[in-house]
Amino acid sequence: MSENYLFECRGLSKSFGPTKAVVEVDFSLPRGEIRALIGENGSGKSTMCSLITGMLKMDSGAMTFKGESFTPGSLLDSQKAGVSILLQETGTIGALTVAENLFLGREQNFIRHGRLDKKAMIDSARAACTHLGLDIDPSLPAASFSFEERKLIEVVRAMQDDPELLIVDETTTALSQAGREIIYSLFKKLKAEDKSAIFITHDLGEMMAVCDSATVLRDGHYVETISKEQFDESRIRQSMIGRQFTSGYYRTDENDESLRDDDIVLDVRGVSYGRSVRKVSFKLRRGEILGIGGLTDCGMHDLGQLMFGALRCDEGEVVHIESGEAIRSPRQAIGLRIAYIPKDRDQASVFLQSEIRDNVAVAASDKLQKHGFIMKRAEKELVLRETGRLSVKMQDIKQLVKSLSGGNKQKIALSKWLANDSEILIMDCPTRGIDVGIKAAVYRLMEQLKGEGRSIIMISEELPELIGMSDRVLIMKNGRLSAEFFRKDGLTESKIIETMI
Amino acid sequence: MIKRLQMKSWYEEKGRRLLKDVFPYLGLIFVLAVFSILTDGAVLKARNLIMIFKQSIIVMVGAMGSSFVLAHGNMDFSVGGSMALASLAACTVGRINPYLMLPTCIICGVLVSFLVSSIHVSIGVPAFLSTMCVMFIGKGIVQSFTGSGISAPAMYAAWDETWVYAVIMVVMLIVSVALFNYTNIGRFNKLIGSNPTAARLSGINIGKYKTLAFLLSGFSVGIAAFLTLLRSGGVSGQTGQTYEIDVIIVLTLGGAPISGGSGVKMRSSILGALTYYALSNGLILYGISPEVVFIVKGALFLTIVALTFDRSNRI
Amino acid sequence: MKKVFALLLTAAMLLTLLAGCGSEGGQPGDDPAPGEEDGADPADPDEPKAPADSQNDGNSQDEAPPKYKIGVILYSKEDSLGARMYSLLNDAAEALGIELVFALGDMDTPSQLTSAENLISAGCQGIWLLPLAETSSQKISALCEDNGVYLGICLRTFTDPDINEQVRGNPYFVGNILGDDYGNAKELTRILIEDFSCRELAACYAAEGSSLAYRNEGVRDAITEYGATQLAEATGIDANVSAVPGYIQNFVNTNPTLQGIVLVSGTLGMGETASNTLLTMDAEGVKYACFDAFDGMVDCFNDGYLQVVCGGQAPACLYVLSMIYNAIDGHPLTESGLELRMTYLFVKSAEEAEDFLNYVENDQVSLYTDEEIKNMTVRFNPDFSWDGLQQVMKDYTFENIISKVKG
Repeated sequence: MSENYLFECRGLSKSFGPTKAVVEVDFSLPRGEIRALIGENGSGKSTMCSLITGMLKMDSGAMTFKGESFTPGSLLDSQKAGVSILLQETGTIGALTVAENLFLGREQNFIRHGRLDKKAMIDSARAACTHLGLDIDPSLPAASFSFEERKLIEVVRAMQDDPELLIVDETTTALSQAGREIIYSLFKKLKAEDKSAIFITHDLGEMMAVCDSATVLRDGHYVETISKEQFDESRIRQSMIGRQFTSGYYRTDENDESLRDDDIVLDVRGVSYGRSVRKVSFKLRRGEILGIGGLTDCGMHDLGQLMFGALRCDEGEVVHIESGEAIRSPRQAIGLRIAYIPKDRDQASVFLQSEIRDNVAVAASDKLQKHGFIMKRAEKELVLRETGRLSVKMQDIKQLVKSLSGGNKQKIALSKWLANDSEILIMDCPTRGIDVGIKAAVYRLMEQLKGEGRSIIMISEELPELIGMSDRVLIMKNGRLSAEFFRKDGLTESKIIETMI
Repeated sequence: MIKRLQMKSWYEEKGRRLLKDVFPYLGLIFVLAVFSILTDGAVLKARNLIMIFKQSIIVMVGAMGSSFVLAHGNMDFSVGGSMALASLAACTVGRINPYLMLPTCIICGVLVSFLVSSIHVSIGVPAFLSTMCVMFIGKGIVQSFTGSGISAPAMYAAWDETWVYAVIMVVMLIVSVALFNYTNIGRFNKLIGSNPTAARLSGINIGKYKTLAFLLSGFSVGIAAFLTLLRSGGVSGQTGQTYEIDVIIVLTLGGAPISGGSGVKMRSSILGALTYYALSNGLILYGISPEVVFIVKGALFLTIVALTFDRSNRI
Repeated sequence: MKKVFALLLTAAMLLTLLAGCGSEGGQPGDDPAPGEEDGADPADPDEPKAPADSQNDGNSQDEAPPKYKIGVILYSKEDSLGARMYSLLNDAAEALGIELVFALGDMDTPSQLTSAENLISAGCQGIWLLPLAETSSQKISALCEDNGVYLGICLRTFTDPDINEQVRGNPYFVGNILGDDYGNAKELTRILIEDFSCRELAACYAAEGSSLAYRNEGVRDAITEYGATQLAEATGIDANVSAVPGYIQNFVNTNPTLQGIVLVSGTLGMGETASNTLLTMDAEGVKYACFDAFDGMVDCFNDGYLQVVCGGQAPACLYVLSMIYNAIDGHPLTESGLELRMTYLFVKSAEEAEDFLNYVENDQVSLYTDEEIKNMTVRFNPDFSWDGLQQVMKDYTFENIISKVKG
């Protein structure tokens, strides 16, 4: 390994159960270079950062930092060695003052005569902030500052360690232009001191402006490293997405002429929820597959729950047109034959410790009972019919769901709603973590349901399936609808990605 | 190759399920086998077996009700206090009209469980806390009001017959199994215990079904309190003293997962209670030395739990 | 499969463990004679057992005595009273050559009843019971009657007239022995009045209706009978230890002439509390007497306030055992189960208190020799009778016991 490299890794791998997040990645970062790490959602960027900073332990591989073998056991370890990270999530403690946040864990530097010298601490904090161009009062609690200011406080804190390698994980998406400038100037400063940075961003324009090179990851694999001279948006996208559209996998038709704008089943009217969903309005047509896409934190997952009544709207309402009712609870929604398939299958969708029978029959239990007793025969028939329709691989209906494969679990989750004759299906990442064969089965089912005149809202982080399956795609950005695309106009990834980031 | 692997896993699954079907009974079989060897078959004499059956019914009945609560993942610690209160109320009322004793027991049990579940469901106090508070209050009231004891009406002495217990137990069993396996009360409670989030997102009214489970528990405690009055002839400061612990031990010995969910089965109550009382009976019949009785009892408990623990519930 | 093997192995180990630690009395398999024969008896409740056993009368005393099996239902052997009774009973069983089967730890009536059923099923010919509630006595008595098993009750009586009638009507009930609460309280008070010349008294009584209420009567009668005056009183100390200091302070502060205080209970630290209160107040000339010998009483005697304590009820268990043994042996001491009330030991100085703790309450010391135990049975002492048992109890005094075990 060359001495020129500040950081290197070879064969870095990490799996979460059956999911391979990072696979055999080789990566070298010379001194004085600002490197972008890019790829689609779930391509392994954040996992790699967690491995480098010791927040996660690698399964196999080797890392070197400053020419020495590097195996950090925790975030603290890597900080001591000279690696700092700025995370996507908020990392300041609201109840502590800015100064306390900045010097968390380093209070001993301010101990004078056995007592904490608060004044000295606040003075140092003020100096550190001003140095980075941030003008705030460090004696106030962190909670009194805006999200952006707190993010920048984290930047100041990260720089306290005087790191040789700074990792910035999608921090800039939360910042205004002024905030971003602070980070860009930070990069320049690091470069001047012959230090390096790894920058994760979805904003390709920003990336090309500030980075010296970019490493592309796809499905956890290393694809290539592109130098500044070769930067070209379409080339980078090509590299990120990588795959060809496989015909026959998704819908083949170009347009569904039968959809009518006056045949509405669900009307979302100015719905807001906390910071994540802001005044979203749209209408769902009968027999439509409506795709909703965006970055993970754009608010689309919360929107799914709002439409099902699992979350209560702060503002606005979701109206079921046929009954005229505004949806307030999952129970009511189920009664109106609305289905919701959560993103997190094992935690929120299926009952792992329960039998297939109970899993499938739960939503339909009202129609399965007579005089308060469950009609076992009717129930068995229903469960066999619905699991048969999706060809669930199982021994019998008394098998526990947790013994099934991921794809078959998802089929059980779908069967539950088919058993209830759901007319509107809200699917949040319906193909997440399942293999190609079952994915195809889910797509066929969606087509079939559409054919029967049922409506589907598909929330997905995967552009190809949104494009492949939807009659219409809505893109969300920072809680708002940012764009709408129609199948009949021809959907392309590049057009959509532009509106996402 | 893939096919062979699938076949193999199919056989493994089949074998595992067969074992699973036998496992719950192994604890009882083990206890009876060990002590019938040690006592030259004295444990297995019909008279002795009938006696064990009769002894186990009071706890068995309470455990049946507690199974509903356990299914949704809670522990009902109030059963002892509730039994004490119900017994006290029934003995007091029984002096006025002996025939009101059974209804009083049931009403009292149901009222207490309604109180407990309301505190848990509507205020959100964890169930183990609210039930534990009721346990202390109930026992406290009974200890300060009963003095040296209040006798049940004399007419009930004639009822203290094995067949009375057997009839009540069979009726309770039929009702419990029907409710547990053939109605939404049992099914939804099991599903809530299995995954509360998914239960909510599947439209289950969690508060309602948890409350129903507690009410059933209260009902069965009422029945158990009545049986206790038959058996012990009255209420004393000690009534229900260890009842909640007995119920929990019985459910555990019967192989019920303490975490709740679909692994909770009605048979746990019966098998557990029989195992528990067969064990006490066997230890006395064998005449084990008091110096080691707790060590042996603990070791046997461990073995039984290891034998009956439903492996599919392993974390 | 590994798991199954592991389980089988555990099972095998447990079997070995069990086989290794059966009761010292031997295993039923090895020694079928008494256990098995009598184990069958309960199945035929119509056939009285006593005559069947009387065949033993012809045996000479040189032969091994019959190995009767008696079940003992005792709440615990962990507290001081339970532990003392456990040791005394075991010593006696060894002397008599009988087997005791213990059922410990039952905390309510159904559990005691279950233990009684199990003991009878195990072939016990007699049941020794310390009931937790009167209904326990009632139910177990009925059970014993049905099964022809003798029952003796220790340290309890029956206040409910129905239960009293039922239990005493049971031909298999051999009798019950308990502390003479009235007599002991009276004697305790007498000692304080006459021996320590305290004539101006205050008393802390038990709550009316509690099991200790008889003691109140004893104290009151002694005060009248021995010419003392009660200046003040308080009620309910048996349920409330923390109130004791307040009561005592009131007694002393409002009655300058006060000479003595009687406490009808000394458990749960009440004895020490009383002494400490008087010590803090520096209440010169005030003396007190209390029930229930306690661990800290030597210090209390040395402080100078405590004058007399009564205690030492544990041997009651032996007298009950004697009644049961004789009944099984075909020589019941009375025709119908009677009640005997036991006079306690009275401890009057620090030296005596030390002796009391070292001998009377010491699990390692047998209060009666093997010979004396045997002499409490008709089998070994044909002259023994109901009167004999009463004599034994009368001879149970502090002076006798100490001189015997010390000498």
